[in-house]
Amino acid sequence: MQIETSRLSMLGSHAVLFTPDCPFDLAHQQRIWAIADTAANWPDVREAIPGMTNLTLLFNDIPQDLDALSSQLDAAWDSGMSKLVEGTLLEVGIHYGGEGGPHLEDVADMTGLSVQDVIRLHSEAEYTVYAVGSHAGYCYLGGLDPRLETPRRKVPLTSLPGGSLSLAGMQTGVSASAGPSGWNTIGTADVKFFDPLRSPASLLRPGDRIKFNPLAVTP
Amino acid sequence: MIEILSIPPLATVQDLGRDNHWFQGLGRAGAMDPVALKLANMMLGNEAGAATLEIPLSPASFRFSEDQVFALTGAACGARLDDVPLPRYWAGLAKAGQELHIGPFQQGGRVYLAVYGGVDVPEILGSRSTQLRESFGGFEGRILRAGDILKPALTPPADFPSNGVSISLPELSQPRGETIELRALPAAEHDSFTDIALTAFWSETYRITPQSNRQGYRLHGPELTRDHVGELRSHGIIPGIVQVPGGGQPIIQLADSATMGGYPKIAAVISADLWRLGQALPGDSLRFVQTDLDGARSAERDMQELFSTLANDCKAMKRLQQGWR
Amino acid sequence: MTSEDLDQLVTAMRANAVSSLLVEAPDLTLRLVLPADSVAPMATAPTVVAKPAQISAKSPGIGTYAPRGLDDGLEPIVIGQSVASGEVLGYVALGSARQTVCAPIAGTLTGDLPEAGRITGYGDTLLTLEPSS
Repeated sequence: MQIETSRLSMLGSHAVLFTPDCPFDLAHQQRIWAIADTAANWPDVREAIPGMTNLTLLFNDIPQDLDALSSQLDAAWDSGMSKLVEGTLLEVGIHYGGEGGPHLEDVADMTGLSVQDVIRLHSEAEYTVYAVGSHAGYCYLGGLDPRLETPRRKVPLTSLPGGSLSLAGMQTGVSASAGPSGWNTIGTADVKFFDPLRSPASLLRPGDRIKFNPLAVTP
Repeated sequence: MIEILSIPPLATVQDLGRDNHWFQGLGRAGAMDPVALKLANMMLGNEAGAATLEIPLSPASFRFSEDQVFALTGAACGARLDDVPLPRYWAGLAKAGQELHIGPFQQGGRVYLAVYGGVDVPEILGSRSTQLRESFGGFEGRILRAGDILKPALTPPADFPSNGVSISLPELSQPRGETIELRALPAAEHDSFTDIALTAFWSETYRITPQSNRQGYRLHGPELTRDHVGELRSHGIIPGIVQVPGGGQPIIQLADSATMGGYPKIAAVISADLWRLGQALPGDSLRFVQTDLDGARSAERDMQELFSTLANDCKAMKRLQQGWR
Repeated sequence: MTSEDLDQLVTAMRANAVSSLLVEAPDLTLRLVLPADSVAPMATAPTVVAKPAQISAKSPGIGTYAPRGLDDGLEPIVIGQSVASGEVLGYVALGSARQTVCAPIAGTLTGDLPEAGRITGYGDTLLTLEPSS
């Protein structure tokens, strides 16, 4: 059996971040979903939110015993329990490049690929919603081709319109509303990922899937 | 009704925030200075978290279309009711036709204007706070502007003290220009910063830059570099987290914080000290003071004791006032 | 109002050559009239009488007097200063809560400023104003 180490760190006086040392893949993300469900039922846990192979716990009160909490989380993780989600598939039309995708060429430069190959690799894959966050309705997706891995931008943009398709590291996604971003933006989509008057307000949940279809390409 | 005659950008309706939607990626919003919001409501006898106006800039002016009671807390702002200067942290009566003027801030960064029963706006997803990024909640999901008419949720009581009431807040008065001390916990990547960076972070001052708003404050001070770098997987973040992007200058996430992020985190400001940032302005200096969970608990107890003392004193005074009638 | 208060009032009336006094408060009206021979004539009486009537800013309740201008964002008051009707002149504090002492009319502050921390009762005169003409 593989020996795994995990870390528990503070996000605030009322929040912790649990980070198991594990590969970034769907199998491990399914274990995160499982312990999120478990931890959500612990007393005093207000919310348990999956991140990208990590877990955030928000508390009503300042946690009393971090060591006990750490052991509980380790035990839940080490149990290997996993949550399989039969998610829906959402097809999203994308306009790659142009004004809405100002960093498409930067991504080609950073990856050593042609713009066409960046678009092909990005739109061929089927992505799984690993986590929902950053802003309302935003989906962190797993399934990016490793050849498209890029660093975050050193200076974040202060505002990027909703519907912007971006990538950074091994992650990609479409913004659900206008806001700041430190990622590389390569296209735009027209989808309402969050509607406060809809129930549930967020269009997708962890486990749902997305496929990007190129509608247009502006080099 | 209260008509907004003039108001600078970025004034919003806020309550204590929207909980339990982190899983949908929806942040809390809510007052940048929850202490000032709660005290405004306390002086009026409202529920602690009733919706109020949060005014981050001046000048602003309002007209009362009928007799109302209202409270002003937060920044010292040279407020006047018609020509009569009003004290900071005050609640009292306005007659129909009177105008409230909020002038330049002399101390503090945000004024809270509360009305009886709270501002009457719909509750959406458990709160009346304005969610600026998602454009819902508060007053029509947007920042307030001249011509907007705000309605108090309740008719004012006939027995509100005609002279008005105020509270003294030695603990909350921070002279302009003094360094704001924020108690903080080391966060996940704390130990990956160089010794020089850590010494600087916990001892030097950081200035709030003009690139600061309800989402967060960008700071400027000694550059913070890490011994080992590498992209982090995106993870939960909350108001108070201090991130350090590649440029080496920290960002503190605040009330309109994102729910997830990926920059290295050096520290996390404890909840009990976040209101201090709500009253800070660009140009103000901050210093981070390292604490632990015991320190955070004791800070929270101090805050609760302050609130219960104020609430008891307000109640005792009200009983006496009613005794005179 | 206690009998001690009444004695104090009568003594003050005699000392200041006042033969009749009307006290009005929200919950009481009191008229005091002294026989003319019980009132001591005062050497300075004519100048006192010539002064315009003074109006009191009274305590709205029991507590300790706290001046304005310490932590409330207002300028401290000074004698001789003009104030607006309804303006906050100071506070009567009960713990951290405090009621405001307001100017009943527009006028100029006269007399002495009360000492900070002075214990006051409901209706006590804290400051006096000469009405603006």
